[in-house]
Amino acid sequence: MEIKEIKQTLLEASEGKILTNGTAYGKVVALGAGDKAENWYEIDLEEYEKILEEETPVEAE
Amino acid sequence: MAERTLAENVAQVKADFKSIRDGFGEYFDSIYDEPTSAYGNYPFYTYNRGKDEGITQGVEQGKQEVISNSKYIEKQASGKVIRLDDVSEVAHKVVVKADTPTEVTVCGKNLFNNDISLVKEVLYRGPEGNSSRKNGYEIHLPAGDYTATLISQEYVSNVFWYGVINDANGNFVRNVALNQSTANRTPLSFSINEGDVLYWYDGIGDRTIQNSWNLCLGLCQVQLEVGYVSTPYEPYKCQTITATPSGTEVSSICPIMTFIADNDITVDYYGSYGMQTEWDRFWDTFQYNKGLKMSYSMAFSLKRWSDDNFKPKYDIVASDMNQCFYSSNITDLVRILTERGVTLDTSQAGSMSYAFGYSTISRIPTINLSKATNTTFMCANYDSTSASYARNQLRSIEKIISSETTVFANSAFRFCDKLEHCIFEGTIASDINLQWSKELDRASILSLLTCLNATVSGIVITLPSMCIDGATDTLALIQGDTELNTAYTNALAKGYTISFA
Repeated sequence: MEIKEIKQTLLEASEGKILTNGTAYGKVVALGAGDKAENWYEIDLEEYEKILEEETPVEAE
Repeated sequence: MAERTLAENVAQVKADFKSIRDGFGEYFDSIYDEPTSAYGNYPFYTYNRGKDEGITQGVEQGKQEVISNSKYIEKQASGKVIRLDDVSEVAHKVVVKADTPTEVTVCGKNLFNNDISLVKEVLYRGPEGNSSRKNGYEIHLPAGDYTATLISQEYVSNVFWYGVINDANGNFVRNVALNQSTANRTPLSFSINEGDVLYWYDGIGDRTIQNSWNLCLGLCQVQLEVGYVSTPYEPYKCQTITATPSGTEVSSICPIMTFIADNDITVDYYGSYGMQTEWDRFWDTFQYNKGLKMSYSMAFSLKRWSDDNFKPKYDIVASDMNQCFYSSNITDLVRILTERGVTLDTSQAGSMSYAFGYSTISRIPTINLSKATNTTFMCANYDSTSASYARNQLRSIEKIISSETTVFANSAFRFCDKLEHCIFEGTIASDINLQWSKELDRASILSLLTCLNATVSGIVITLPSMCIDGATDTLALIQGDTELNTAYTNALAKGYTISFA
């Protein structure tokens, strides 16, 4: 039997912050094989909400 | 009067009914007469024109065909006298039934047969109580309300018809004289009770009925019709049929049909027959490829489309789903398609942009995204701070089939915060963001993790930090569930980064 140990790297955002790699966001990020912690950084939640708002299309009625 | 319309001893049973105006016209009004589109003051045609000419032309043709031909009635009435108003010229079916074979006179609206050969010597009692004998028409009508109209073609003094109603015992009831003293059209409404007899006779001196009535008939037209309203003149038309228990089909002979029988009959007007024809006509035109691949861009978009009028005839095989159901008022897409026996095939659609976005759809059937490369706002909806949040109803997607080339836009499930169930199948090799779906069930999460089966780099799968009931920590759930954890660790090993937002 072969036992494989898979290393899991979890990144957790600080209070009031959210993690992003520029396109995706998360409070907790489990890095996949090949991904690096350096690819992720924190932004303020306020900034994140602003980004969300900008991405929202004009409401259609 | 025709023989059968003079039938005696008929009870007072009358059941008029009128048509529903342009049944499918209303249907199409709801689709077409939206004053503005989502993008400003442009009618649907204007907005859609140029985006998909096929659909636009199909809609136009379908509408024109239906509007120019549609009218339907869907009604049933029973009795001895039944009047069917506004019988349309389009395909329809009228079936007359009776418990036992019954002779039925089917007239137009005018019940008066002015055949001079029906003139005979009549004995009636006048208002003074005296019996008189004159030449005229003796008319036995079923009990009910009637209107008689003398329509002269030009004014001539002393052109009138004397008339009285006598009851079953031969007593005077009322005058029903028609005259044309001051106008060329003088309607008179009156009631007939069971056993009453209507006499129209020559009351001018001792002249013979033949001479005077020939003169009168030469100048006038008389219409006797059911009801209190005098309507435009129509010549007397009549046919006799035999109603049977299984029903006898009658083709319309007039804009208004009157059925008279000695026994109770039932008249069924098959509105659905006309509706079916018109539904076929529309959907054959609209879905011009009849179940084969075609563009459904904008096809069922905006609030004009609802559960009431979204009744596709053929499978929806879409080459393009761009805004197909965008902002529509349809609710349960699964139920409607199931009831109609119609499937939604998106396997060849490259664009799913706004396909279900901002609609009121609560259930989406299986959607195949194997070839989809544009899924922006595919299922997106309003957030909880929006005045339109009530439209955000998406709770389940039966299945999403994806391939290694499927591109899930970050906005594909934007604000889908009521989404509870969404089973994934195939391979997910693109970023996907389900962060808003905090009620996703375990099966959905497991299916998604299982689809993370390609070897990838730089792909981020975003799950909601909470799931199931909005209060279950998703990561904790996964790590505490062998099956989920296996799929999760396998995905990480394949290169997927999994984010919990």
